[in-house]
Amino acid sequence: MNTFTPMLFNSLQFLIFFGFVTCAYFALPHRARWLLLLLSSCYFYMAFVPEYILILFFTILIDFSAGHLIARSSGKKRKMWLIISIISNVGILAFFKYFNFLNTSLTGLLGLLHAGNPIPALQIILPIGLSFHTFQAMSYTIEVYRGNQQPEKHFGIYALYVMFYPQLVAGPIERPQNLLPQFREKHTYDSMRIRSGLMKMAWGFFKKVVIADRLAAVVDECYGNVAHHNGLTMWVAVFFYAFQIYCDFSGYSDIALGAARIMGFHLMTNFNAPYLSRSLNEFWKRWHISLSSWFKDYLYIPLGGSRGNWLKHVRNLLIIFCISGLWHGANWTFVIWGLFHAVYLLAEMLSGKLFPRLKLPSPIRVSITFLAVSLLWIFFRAHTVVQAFEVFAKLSEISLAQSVSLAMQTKELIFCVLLIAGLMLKERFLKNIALENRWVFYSVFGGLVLCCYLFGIYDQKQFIYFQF
Amino acid sequence: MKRIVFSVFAFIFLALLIISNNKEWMLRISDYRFASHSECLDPHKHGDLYSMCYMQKYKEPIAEPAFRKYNSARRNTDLYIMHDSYLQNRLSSTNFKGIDSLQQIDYRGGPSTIRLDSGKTSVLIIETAQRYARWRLQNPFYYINQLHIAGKEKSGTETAPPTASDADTSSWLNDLKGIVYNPNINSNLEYNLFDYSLFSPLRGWKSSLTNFLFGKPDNRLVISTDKQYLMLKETVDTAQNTGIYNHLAESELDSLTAHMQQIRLHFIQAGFKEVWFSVIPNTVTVVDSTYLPQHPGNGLMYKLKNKTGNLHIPYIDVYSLFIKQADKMYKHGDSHWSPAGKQIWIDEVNARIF
Repeated sequence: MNTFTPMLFNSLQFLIFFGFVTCAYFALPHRARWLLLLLSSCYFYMAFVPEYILILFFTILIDFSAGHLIARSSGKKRKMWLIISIISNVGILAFFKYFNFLNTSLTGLLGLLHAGNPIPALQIILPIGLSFHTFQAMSYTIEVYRGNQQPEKHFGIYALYVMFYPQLVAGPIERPQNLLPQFREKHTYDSMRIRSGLMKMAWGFFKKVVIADRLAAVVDECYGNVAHHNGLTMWVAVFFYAFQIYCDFSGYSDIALGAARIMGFHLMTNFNAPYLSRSLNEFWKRWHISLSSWFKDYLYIPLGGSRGNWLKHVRNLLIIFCISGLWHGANWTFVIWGLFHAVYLLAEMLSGKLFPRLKLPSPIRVSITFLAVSLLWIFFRAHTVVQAFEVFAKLSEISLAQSVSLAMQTKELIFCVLLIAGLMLKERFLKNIALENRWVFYSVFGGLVLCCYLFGIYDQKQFIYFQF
Repeated sequence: MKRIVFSVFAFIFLALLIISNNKEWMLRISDYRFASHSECLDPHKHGDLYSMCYMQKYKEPIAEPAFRKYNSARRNTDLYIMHDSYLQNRLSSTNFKGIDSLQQIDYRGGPSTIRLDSGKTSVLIIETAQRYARWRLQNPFYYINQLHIAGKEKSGTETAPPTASDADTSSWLNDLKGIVYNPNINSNLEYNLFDYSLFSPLRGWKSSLTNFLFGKPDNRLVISTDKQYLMLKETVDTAQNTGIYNHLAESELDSLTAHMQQIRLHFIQAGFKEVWFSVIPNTVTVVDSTYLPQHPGNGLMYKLKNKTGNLHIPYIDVYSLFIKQADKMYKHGDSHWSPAGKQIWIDEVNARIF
């Protein structure tokens, strides 16, 4: 099977592709636009493993049919069609993402019993964005089942709902009620909207190529050779990773939102200054909002949510975070990451019940939450559970006598810290820029583009969430 | 009116994508630009590292090096060299003493098949750059699978030979994919949009600013302590095995040399009389080994030389020769050796093998 590099947002190829699609979108009459978007989304998706488009269309066909069958049926049949749709979606996800993980775990288990595993590992490449578009497709059939969404009559429009290129490979995971009607709306040229979209895109590029990819150099160096670095350097890497993953993923989301907005589509907000959260509970309302709300609406609440006794609530949280961990990656590190989040959330709830009057000042609560989230990211970044514990061991070796020892020069390290400080200040105090004023727009947009050119890193680094 | 403007722009963007995707058109554009402005589609024209930063100080002149030639009597010997970019520019059989023919096999381009002349002595040299030596030798099949000898059993190979039908299907499918998705599209777009002498100063200023601020002109590059050489960052990266400061365990060295032995035996069974290895040191190893003073080097070059010597694995060492004339062995704006460095390697091959 021939693989190609996916079309990265931070590449010239994407910029030209985006320019073509957007211009052609406004040049074409409204009735032909869905076809343009669908064909360009296919081209975008096929840049990685072209053959996988067949699998994607297979699931699209199943869910499209299931939607109609659910709407037409009643009683048990209705449920049966929903289950068939979910099984086919989850089945494909499980095969591509979890087969080798489960098989390796089985090999380890059998090894403990001194037995061999007869099932060979498969040489499979994970389809890009599989977890994202599978969840988006599932939300369609579930919403049709719940009666919140009429089944889509137009196969092409439904396919576009699953494949819309700005959010195809890393979200936001959209809901049919929000996205599907927008494909029928006639979007005209609106300079204010285009400015707003361009600004969103420029800010996303800045976060990705200027901040995330620069921090990645430190993070990769430290995680690539944990034993080689002292405790203080490892702490720097841990905090840098927290900002790297945030800028990487929210940068992607900003580009996606901006690209869609320019054409007139409003995708849901995926991040809302998560590192300013005062608790982990609040963090999950601000981080990857489209996924958190997906889990809440389609899993947590159907399981009973926080209703019922405390034990049920604990069970539900553990299930949700365990699955959330697995959704991110087929590795025990992600499962542990999810579990620890659940445990921390439970501890937060417990402390709230035990000490209802204890209210720490906001800055302290924000700092504690950020520290906890950063430490938990270690499991997310580490290649293995053993390596994660190696990192924790390193962190415990910190002493005043140590200095940061990296290939990166001190000046660049300070630049990284300034970037992070600037990012946090912007998130805290400058949510929106007055785009009505043309000069403000041109100055800020031009400044961001110039910074991306001068300080951006262009080594075609993939977005972290592309692997999920 | 707006619709017309959008149509024009859409057409321009589409044309750019189509042209940059098409290999033949890109070659024609390159030929045309080279003929009219000497701007060819070759990132190595003034040094591959120079083309990452455009800092004038490191711009290498375009020169065709001439290597020493021999007219010695032929000894019924064919020389085969499996090589990477260090030997990318063709050598001539006359550069080597008394050989009948020279065949260069660039293993980065995929597997090749050759037929050995049973009436002659066949000698194989496997050359690799130091920065990729650990990666390439960590699996013996990397080299074994890259060279197939016609008429010989493919013993010891890891993958099954492709069937005729596989080849037919994959070739047309791959051709089709290659037309629609050119893996070099980003560099082609850059070439079409920005690779003009007009932009070179702008790029140079950017690199100079980055160098001033962060001590490196580009994220992929570092500058040697004496400011004379651009070097690949991966060669000083402590986290990657391409770097000279990345820890090299004794067990890994044992494994590398064991694989060399396995590769050698495989090719001897396949019909070669002699199989030699040669690892070309990174620029930093020779000109600036204390680039990161707080980190000890892993000593890959001399460890390989000693270990292969102990195990009687034929090995062409140029490291000890290079450090004697360190300042002449490498280009300043390129990741490869200078003509003088290459000549030393050729001389050493002549001295050791012929």
